[in-house]
Amino acid sequence: MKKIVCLVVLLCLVFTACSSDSEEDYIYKVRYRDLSSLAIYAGEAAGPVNVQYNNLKRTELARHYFAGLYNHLLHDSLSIQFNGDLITYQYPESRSRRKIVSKYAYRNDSLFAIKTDGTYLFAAMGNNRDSLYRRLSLVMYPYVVAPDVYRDTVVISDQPFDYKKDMASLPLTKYTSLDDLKADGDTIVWCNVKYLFQ
Amino acid sequence: MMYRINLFRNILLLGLTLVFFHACGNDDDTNSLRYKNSKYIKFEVYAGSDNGGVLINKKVDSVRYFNAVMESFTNAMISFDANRILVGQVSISESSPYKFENGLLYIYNDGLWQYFGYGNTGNVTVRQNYVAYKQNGGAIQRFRGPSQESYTVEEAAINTPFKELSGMEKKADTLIVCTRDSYFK
Repeated sequence: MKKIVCLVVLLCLVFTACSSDSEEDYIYKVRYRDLSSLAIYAGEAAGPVNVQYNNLKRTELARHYFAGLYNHLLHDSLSIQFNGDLITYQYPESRSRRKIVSKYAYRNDSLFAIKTDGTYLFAAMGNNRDSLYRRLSLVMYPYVVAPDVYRDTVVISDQPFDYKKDMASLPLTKYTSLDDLKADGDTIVWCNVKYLFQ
Repeated sequence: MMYRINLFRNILLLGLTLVFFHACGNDDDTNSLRYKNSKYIKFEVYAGSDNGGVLINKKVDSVRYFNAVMESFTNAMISFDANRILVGQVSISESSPYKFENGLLYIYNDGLWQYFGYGNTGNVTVRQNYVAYKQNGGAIQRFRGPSQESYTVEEAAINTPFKELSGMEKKADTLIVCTRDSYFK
């Protein structure tokens, strides 16, 4: 009898120890970065060339071209937890960490925490809990320092970069379109990084 | 007899426990492939001559020529999640769309399906081409070759000042083309 009790207790412990956390307990954090939009164009007399590196890890390329402005840990301090019709959203603010427990809503492909005053606090892009992400675009291009003097610079934005529409509006850019890349050494690099929650 | 029954019970209990632990283990780990090793499947050294570059049988220090440009996979891992390949090293993990087509691995980069090797979700071989050259014994120059299954010396020469093998006219001209396979399992 004693052995049967021991067996039952042991089995209960095993089940308890390895039962998966419920979906409500799961904390969504940025666990992956999607760098698949990294584009590198180099100038040649015949026209711009799309350079495809053979690196499996795109992080090294992003670090090389965007220097310190590409931070793969950028959104690591964000966390989102769903509990019924509430979310717990934690985010950094002025060197401290804020936590808000509130109702939430999806609006325009984004998740918002609804504050007590009714205003919406942006948490992440996406329209369901399995497609949440944050976004950051980086562009490296030659900046006009003085007539015929250029210096490579990097601009960042939370809006995605579309070279067809946005190249000419880069601040003091040498290039207004890809066709301006004509000489050896002409280079433009951009990436719309997605920081993916999981 | 009693001793045997107890032994049988204990073994049964241990077996049951192992089965339960195995059944409820974390499925995420089962599909992670770890970097095992790399090897050169091609390492060709060409030297200049009056008749252009010729393939020679000479041992060269591959680290000296390629270490600066070759991608390191130390502690790298690959896993698959639905239609995405996850590539990780230390705390840096990337996620990209991928597909296997006729056993070849393609990863979606900048609007194109880029070749990266071959295999399946249980084991992957990443194939990469690299080139190094010296003009008339000068400094070593090196670059990453394109992502493709095979890469010939003629293709490599186009991207060097020699332009073609016949352009290697000086004895101290050197051109090295290598293909490295890196195994994940």
